[in-house]
Amino acid sequence: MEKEKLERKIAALKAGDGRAFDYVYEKTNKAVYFAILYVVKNKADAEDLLQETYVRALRALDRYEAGTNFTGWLARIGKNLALNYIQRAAREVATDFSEQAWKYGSREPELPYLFELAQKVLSEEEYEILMLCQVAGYKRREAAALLQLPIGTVTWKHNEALKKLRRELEKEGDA
Amino acid sequence: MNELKKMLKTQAKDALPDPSVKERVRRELGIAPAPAEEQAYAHGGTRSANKKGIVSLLAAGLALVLALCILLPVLLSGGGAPLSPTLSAAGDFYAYSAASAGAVLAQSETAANALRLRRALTEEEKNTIRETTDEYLRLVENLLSENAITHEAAAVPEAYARYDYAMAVTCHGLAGSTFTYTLYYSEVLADEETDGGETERAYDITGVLAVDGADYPVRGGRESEEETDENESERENELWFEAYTGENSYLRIEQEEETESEEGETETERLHRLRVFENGRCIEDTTIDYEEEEGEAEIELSIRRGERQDVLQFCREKENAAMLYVEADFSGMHVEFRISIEEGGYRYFFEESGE
Repeated sequence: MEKEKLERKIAALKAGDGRAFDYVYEKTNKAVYFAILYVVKNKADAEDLLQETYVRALRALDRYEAGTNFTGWLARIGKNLALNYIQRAAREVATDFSEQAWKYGSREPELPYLFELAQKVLSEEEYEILMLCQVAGYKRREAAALLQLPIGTVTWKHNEALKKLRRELEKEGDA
Repeated sequence: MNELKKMLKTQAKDALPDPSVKERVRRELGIAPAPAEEQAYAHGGTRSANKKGIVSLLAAGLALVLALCILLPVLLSGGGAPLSPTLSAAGDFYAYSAASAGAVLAQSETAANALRLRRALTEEEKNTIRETTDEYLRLVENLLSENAITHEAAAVPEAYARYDYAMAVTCHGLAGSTFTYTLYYSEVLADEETDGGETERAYDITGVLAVDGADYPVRGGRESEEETDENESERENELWFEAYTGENSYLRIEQEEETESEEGETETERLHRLRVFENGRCIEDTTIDYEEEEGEAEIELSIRRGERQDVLQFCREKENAAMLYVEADFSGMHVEFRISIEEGGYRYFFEESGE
C-alpha cells in the first residue's frame, strides 16, 4: 500500500507537483542516507551527498522506471556519488595513509562511537538493515521492501548485526 | 540486546541527517514550500510565535500527542466512528502519568564535565534559574502530574465545519493552573496491514490547533504496530504533529513509545522530541525522555537553542509528591535544587553552599 502511494507521489512530482516532494523525501531519505554514510563514514559529507543525490535524481526523474524500486534507485545514485567523492578525496589528500586517506581530512568525526563501531564491524547489508530498523524506525517488513530482500533474511541479519555489535562492545569492555 | 537497541535509539538523533538537508534540496530544485493552506493562519489567526507563544504551542502539541495516546485504543476499536472517548480507555496512559519520575538518569558527558558550583548562587542567578525552569516545567508537568490531561469530544463549530472532529484537551499543571487547547481535525486510515502475528495501522491527521486565541494549522500522523508470539509481545506507537506558525516555520512534535513484555517483565520507554523550525531551519530542539522499568521511572529534559544547551533531570518521589528534585546543567553551569509544588505556584529551594 505504501509502495503504491509512493509511486503516485513520484508520478505527481514528475508531473511538476512540488507538493509531493515532502512525502517522497520523508519516505526515502533515511535509507539513502545510510547507504551513503556507510561509504563515506562522515555525517557532514553524507548530508552533502544526500542533498546532491536528491537534486540529481529529481532533475533526472524521467529516467526512473515507474513501479521498480525508487528508494533502491536513489540509493544507487547516492552510493555512486559517495564512491566518486572518496576517490576524489583520496587523490586530493596527500598522506601516507593510502586508500584510507579520506578518513584523515580536516573534518572531525561527528558520529556517536556506537555508529562508528557499527560501520567497522558490520557488513554493508547488516549495517543498512540495523540502521533502518533500529535508528530510522522502519519495520523489518519495510526494510525488506526497501532493500529488496526476503523478510527472513532481514530478520536474520538484523539479529546477527545486533549480536555482532554486542560482542564487539563486550570485547572492548573486557580490554 | 534491549540495552543495545536503546543505545542506538537514544543516539539516533546525532546520527540521522539534519532536517535542513530537505530544505536545501527544495531550494536548489526551486520547489515551493509546503502548501499554503497548511502554512497560512487559518480563520484569521494573527498571533506571532514569540517565545511565550512557542512554549504554549509546544505544550499544547505535547498535550495533544499525549491525549492521542489516550485515544488510541478508542480509535482503533471505533473503526473511524466519531469520537466519544472515555477515560476508562486510558488505563495505560494514566498509569504512566501517575508514575513518579524516579531515579535520576546517569549523567551525560556534558553534565559530567560541567562546572559544578562551589559557591552560593547570586540572587540574579536564582531568578534566571526560576524563570527558565518555570518555562521548562510547563513542558514536563504533563508527564509529572497525576491526571494531568483530560479531554472531551466537542461539537464542531460552523467555522471549522471542514473538519470531522473537535477535541478539547485540558492540562492541569502541578500547581493548580489549567490550560485548554482545542484541536479541530479530520483523520483517515491511511494504511492497515496484518501479517501473521503482526498488525500495523497508519493514520493521517489534518486540522487546526487553537491555542490562546490563535489558530495554527496542523498536520500529523500516527502508526501503531503490535507483534506477539508465544513468549513475548512488542507494541510500538509513533505519533507526530506539525503546527505551522508562518511560512516555512513550524513546530514538529514526535512521540515514540515502545512496550516490550517478556517472561512477565514489562519495559516501557517514551521519547518526545519537540523541534522549532524557522524558515526551514531548526532553531530549538527539545527531547523529553521518560523511561520506566521494574517500577522505576526517570525523566530527562534536554533543550538546545543555538549554542546553548540545558539539561534538567526531574525526580519526584512517591512519598513526597509535592516536592520535585532537580539536577540541571544550564549551559555548563551545574546546579541542584528542589521545587515545592504549592497552590498557585512553585517555590524554589537552593542549597546555599552550592555543594
